[in-house]
Amino acid sequence: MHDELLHQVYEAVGADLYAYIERVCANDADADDLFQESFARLLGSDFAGDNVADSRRYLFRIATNLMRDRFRWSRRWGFTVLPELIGRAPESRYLDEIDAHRALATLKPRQRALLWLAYVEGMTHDEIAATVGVGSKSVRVLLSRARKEILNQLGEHLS
Amino acid sequence: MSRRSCPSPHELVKAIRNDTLGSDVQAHAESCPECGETLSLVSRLQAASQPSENMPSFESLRWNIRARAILDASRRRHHRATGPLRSFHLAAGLSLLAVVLFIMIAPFVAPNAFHGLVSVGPLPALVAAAMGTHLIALGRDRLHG
Ligand SMILES: [Zn+2]
Repeated sequence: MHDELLHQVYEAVGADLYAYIERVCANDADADDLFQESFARLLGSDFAGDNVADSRRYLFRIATNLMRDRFRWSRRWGFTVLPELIGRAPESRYLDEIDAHRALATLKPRQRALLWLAYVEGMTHDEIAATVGVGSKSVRVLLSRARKEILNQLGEHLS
Repeated sequence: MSRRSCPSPHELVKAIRNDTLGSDVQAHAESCPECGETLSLVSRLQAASQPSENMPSFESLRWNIRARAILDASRRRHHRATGPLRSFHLAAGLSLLAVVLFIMIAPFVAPNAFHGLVSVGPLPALVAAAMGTHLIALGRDRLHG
């Protein structure tokens, strides 16, 4: 991949990818490292895509794999992490944003990833399945459970 | 309104992101609890979708990727250069291990024939020390490789 396309991909995907990694990892040091590693893999692999859309899909898949490996390594991918460990107070004045941060922080990393891909990235179930590496049917079940949990959390914050 | 007319969440997200949410969809969401819930969830999560200021700039990303590539190449070179040395240490360590095992087992298999060799005394200790050196060298190589 030449520099110009890399720049285009960074401009088009970078902020979305970084936000995704930040919210799922909830750890700045990891986010930087995983973000750079994802782009390094995009360049280093035999990925043959020559457009932004393909690169976007590839980057989200790589980043999800890297996060899953890292969380699996510490056995946290499918488990809830104590909210105080990851509920970094956002530097935001907006109540909605703080609510969403807090609500996400109470979920399992995999649930955060699923919700993000569905409701921020707007991926279809098949696209999410390919990104997260589980079957489409599992996505449906896992996503509906995650949705129920985050709505409960948001409801509590609202009341 | 019937469930059949509910837009899928990804259609809703795309419409919100592209600012093309039609008034018919908005009207539907107001009367459909599920779509209303989805819209509310999407807008909450979208509100949290700005990356922090820590996001690396393009320049810093590019330099980081180059530095990683250089580091990887140098690791590979080091690995290739020390490959034969590692093989030597491994072979030497394993043959010495075989000698030690032979010295330990032989007295049980053929006590009389082996009597002379065991009386050499410090030989097993020397062999064990040499083997240890080779295995430590191998371990250190692996650590730095
Ligand atoms: Zn509906």
